[in-house]
Amino acid sequence: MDKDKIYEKLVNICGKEDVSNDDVDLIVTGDWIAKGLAALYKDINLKASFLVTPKNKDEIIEIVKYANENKIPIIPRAANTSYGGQVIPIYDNTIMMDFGRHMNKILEINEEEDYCVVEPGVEFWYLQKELGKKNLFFPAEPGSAFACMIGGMVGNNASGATSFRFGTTGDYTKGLEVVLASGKVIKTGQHRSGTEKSVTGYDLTSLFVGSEGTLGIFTEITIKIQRIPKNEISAVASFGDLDSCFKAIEMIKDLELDLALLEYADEMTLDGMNKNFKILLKKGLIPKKMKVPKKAGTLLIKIIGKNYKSDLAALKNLLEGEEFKDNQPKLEVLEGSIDQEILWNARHNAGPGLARSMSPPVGPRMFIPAILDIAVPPKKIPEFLKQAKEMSESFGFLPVTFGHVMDGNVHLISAQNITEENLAKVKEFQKKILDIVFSLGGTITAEHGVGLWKQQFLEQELGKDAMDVMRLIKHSLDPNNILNPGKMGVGEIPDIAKFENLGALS
Amino acid sequence: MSEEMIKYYYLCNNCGSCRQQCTILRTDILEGFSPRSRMTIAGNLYLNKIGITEKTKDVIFSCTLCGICDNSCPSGVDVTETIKATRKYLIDKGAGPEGISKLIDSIIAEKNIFSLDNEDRIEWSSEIEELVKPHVKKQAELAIFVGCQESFKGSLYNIPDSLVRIFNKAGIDFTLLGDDEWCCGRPYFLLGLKEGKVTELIKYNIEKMKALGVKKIVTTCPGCYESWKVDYKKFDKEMDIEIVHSSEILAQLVKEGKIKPIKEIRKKVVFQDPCELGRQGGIYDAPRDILKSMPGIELIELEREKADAYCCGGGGLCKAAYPEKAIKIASDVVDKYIEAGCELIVTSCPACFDNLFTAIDENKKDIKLLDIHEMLVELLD
Repeated sequence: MDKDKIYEKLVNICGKEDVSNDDVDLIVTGDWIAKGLAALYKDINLKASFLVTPKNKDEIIEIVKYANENKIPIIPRAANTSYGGQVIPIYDNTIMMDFGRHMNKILEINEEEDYCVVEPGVEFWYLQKELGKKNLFFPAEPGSAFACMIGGMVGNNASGATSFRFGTTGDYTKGLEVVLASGKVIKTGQHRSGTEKSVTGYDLTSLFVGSEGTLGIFTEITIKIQRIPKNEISAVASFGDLDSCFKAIEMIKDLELDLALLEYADEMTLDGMNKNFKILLKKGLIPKKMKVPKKAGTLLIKIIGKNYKSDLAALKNLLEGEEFKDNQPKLEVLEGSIDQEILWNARHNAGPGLARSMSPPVGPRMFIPAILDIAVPPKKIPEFLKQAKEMSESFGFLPVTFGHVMDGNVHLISAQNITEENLAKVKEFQKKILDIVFSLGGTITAEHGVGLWKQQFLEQELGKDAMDVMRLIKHSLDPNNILNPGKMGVGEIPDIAKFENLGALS
Repeated sequence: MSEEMIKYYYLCNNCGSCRQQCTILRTDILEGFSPRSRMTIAGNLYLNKIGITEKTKDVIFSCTLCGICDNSCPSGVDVTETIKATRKYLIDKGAGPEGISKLIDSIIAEKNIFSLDNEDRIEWSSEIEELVKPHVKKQAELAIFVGCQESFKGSLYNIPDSLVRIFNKAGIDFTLLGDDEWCCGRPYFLLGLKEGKVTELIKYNIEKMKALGVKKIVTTCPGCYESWKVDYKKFDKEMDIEIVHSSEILAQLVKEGKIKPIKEIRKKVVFQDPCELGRQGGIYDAPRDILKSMPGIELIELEREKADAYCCGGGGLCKAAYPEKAIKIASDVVDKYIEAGCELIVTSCPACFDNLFTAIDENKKDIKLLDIHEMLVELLD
């Protein structure tokens, strides 16, 4: 379809200020892999055709109706912080619909009934700050908390290190207002309501949560909120070997402490954290020197709640007691809120910060996408780590591993240079790692989502029949396949997702 | 085309850590204006994947180079260096904004950023001629480098005027280049232009200072301070001249009791950290020490302070190319100070002063603004 015509129509709906067909607004900014591939291959030029920044629901409805009639792809986009390629445009004429500019308002904070209503472009950190003023918070905190928006969090069912204790975004999404591909608007669940419990009808809220923009466009989101836990104390437990570290995890679970975080970190992660401390100190961003011991297995722990002191004492008793007398871990306790904040920030930055630990930047790079975010049954983590390590060594890849041990979610992060040769290796490597994951009863993605890069492996995990049900759902809600096409494995999987037919080198 | 445009592009993994505090993005949350997007644009221009449009210029030249993104990047990406290199690339292609071209032409023709006669560089001292004239071009170990803004902009004359009055009171000898002073070349550095014309300015200023036997240079302008301290030293590694900001000297004089603010000023004060002095120069305590020595003052630290401090919007040539944007940023910052209960903003940078002044004046904001030198001289006995 003629681009000028589409542009004109979009301008008609939103006004010139909120429509762009300028490269500056259209090139992919949120994905390391996509931009790396675009650098390496001449023919890859991943850009949307239009950016629109709608001001309200009515504009969205009009755009969607027009797109549906003319079979024009739309990608709803929030902060663009996903790691799965969720918002990478694949098809020509794609309209990138961005909510950050205008649809970024907190519509209601209902303290009486413990919920808030937000537009999709509200930033998580901002919502948390506003809720904090009322001693409230939205507990589902993802690793991208520094930038992500609520629309994207719901679209991806975002979660993170604290999810074993507090749950995922889906657990807090009470209801939604959704614009469907037809342009119709529906309300799901307990939208704008304080009702706590309801089983009326199919759970449509859960259907849209984590649908990654493929089923509908959120215009309002109702989020359940909670009181901020009163106390918190953090600790770093350093073990000389991995076995004692994982033995300790199982024993800590038996103590029934009120844990908000229990994170495993390997030596490279700790090294990354220490580098982070050093840089922050040099820039004057932290008040004093900090260092975590670089040991084979380390647990980063946060205890909350009114019994935090006795919980900490129980943890100390365990680690200093009989069970670990031959291989006693070192336990360092952090009480001050600033120290704790610095520690957890460094942990959050460990993932994106890994690029820093690579040799000087000489070419396009990537994280190996399909292994970034696996999960296995928690007790099988040691077995997974053992097998994954052997496999990684055989490929010459050196992944960094850290993870949320309570829910079995392991981030296996390997930053690699993008070269033709390496891509072939990466393809094979991620397949082998996923075979290990599936053999242990695990899943390909625990929190990052499917997006573009993982969809080729979906059928292996879910089976063809389940995929067919997903396709049926997609087809009935979006028969013209206009909402984020080429994602989630429900349509044709684009070649780029499989690193195939990438064309001539630049 | 420079390698610096692509170097950090590959290192940036696009996580978005840079979005939260970006001075420009906070005025209009459009992804294209985020730091990671600027990195992407730099890389894609280098790779010839995109062309140059008006908007490319807007994105690259509107950045205030405040450096908050550099601090927040977990991967160690130097966004500001990348932007400077990209500015150079665009200028080489003839795609610099009009305001910028005028600035450069003026420096080339008149050796100052205002297209004014460089012989008038000493105009600022008309009210204290007797304190200044004897020092111009005399031999001394300490020199004041006044800078273009304070030399030529009437509303900023008070800054060097106050410094000289304080030096006089404390019995400090100094020299000045007078009409021999040329622009420090800051705009060139902010445009990534490290070679060519700018080297003439550097050589000339260094030679003039050396000829007067100068061992230490004090600037009141954080931009000049950064030029001398970082860029000049990069150019002339042998340059044996110490560079200090005036707030460092004044804080020392207060500490030693050589000057003593005695008049009381009962106000809730916020210090506007200039980006080039704080985040880039690492000087946070000296101006605060001066303020703390003033009787009656209640110094307020906001949620974002020092390394996280708000940029006023006046730096990085944003104001030269996009004055409306710069003033809007300043206006938003002023609102935050008012909301926090501040009654007086104090700064130690002519660009911050100028931009905040315009924002307060144009929008009739209910808050006072003072330069730290001017304030100090008023409070001395």
